[in-house]
Amino acid sequence: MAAPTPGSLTPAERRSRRNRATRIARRLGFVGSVEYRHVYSQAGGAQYCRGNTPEEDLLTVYAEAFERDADPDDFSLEAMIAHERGHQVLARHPRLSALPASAGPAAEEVLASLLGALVLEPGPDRDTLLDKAAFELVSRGAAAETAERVIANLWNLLGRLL
Amino acid sequence: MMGRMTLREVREALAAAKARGTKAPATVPTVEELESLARLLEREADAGVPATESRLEGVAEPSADAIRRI
Repeated sequence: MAAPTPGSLTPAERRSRRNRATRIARRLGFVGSVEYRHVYSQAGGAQYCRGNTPEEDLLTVYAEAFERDADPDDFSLEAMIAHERGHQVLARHPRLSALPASAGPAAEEVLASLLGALVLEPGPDRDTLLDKAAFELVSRGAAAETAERVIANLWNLLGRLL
Repeated sequence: MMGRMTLREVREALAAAKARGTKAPATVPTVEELESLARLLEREADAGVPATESRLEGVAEPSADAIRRI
């Protein structure tokens, strides 16, 4: 996908990236710190780290998030941050926080994408996260029809709960 | 984590799955797990929202349009 290290940025460009990520995260309801790291994460571009309290949660956005955002065939920065916000909602919402303990990594990724889609307004970015949720299932062998049924059911339930 | 699959790869995989139709294993552990979690969520949803708990900030109402497009 990318060279081993991202090209150099000026301090102003780094601040600009951090500020943009922070604005998006806050708009989507993220609570806690937001940081920009000018390295490749090999993890997709952004990562949620749970702290002791919601205010100590951390969203780290990496260099490849901005490279992916610039590619029309890839996820937008908004969608990537919304997905991480989905992880935070899953970890922090009182009616959902019991679930991750019993959810495997793949199931957690599906739920995070759906919750991320819920914090986005209807539109292309929301659509990409719904596709990602379905992809998590078909990539593990589910039929498309099964994936659609499971995703639709969870979408409705999560909407009712939140 | 978002994972490293691009949006194009995701959509190509979905299109391929649709083309395959129902030729897939009868049981997929992640599907079974999510169906189990859905039953827990359904019970929680049926229990209703506590009066002191407001709607999560920033969460939009799900729309039927959104899910029809999957």
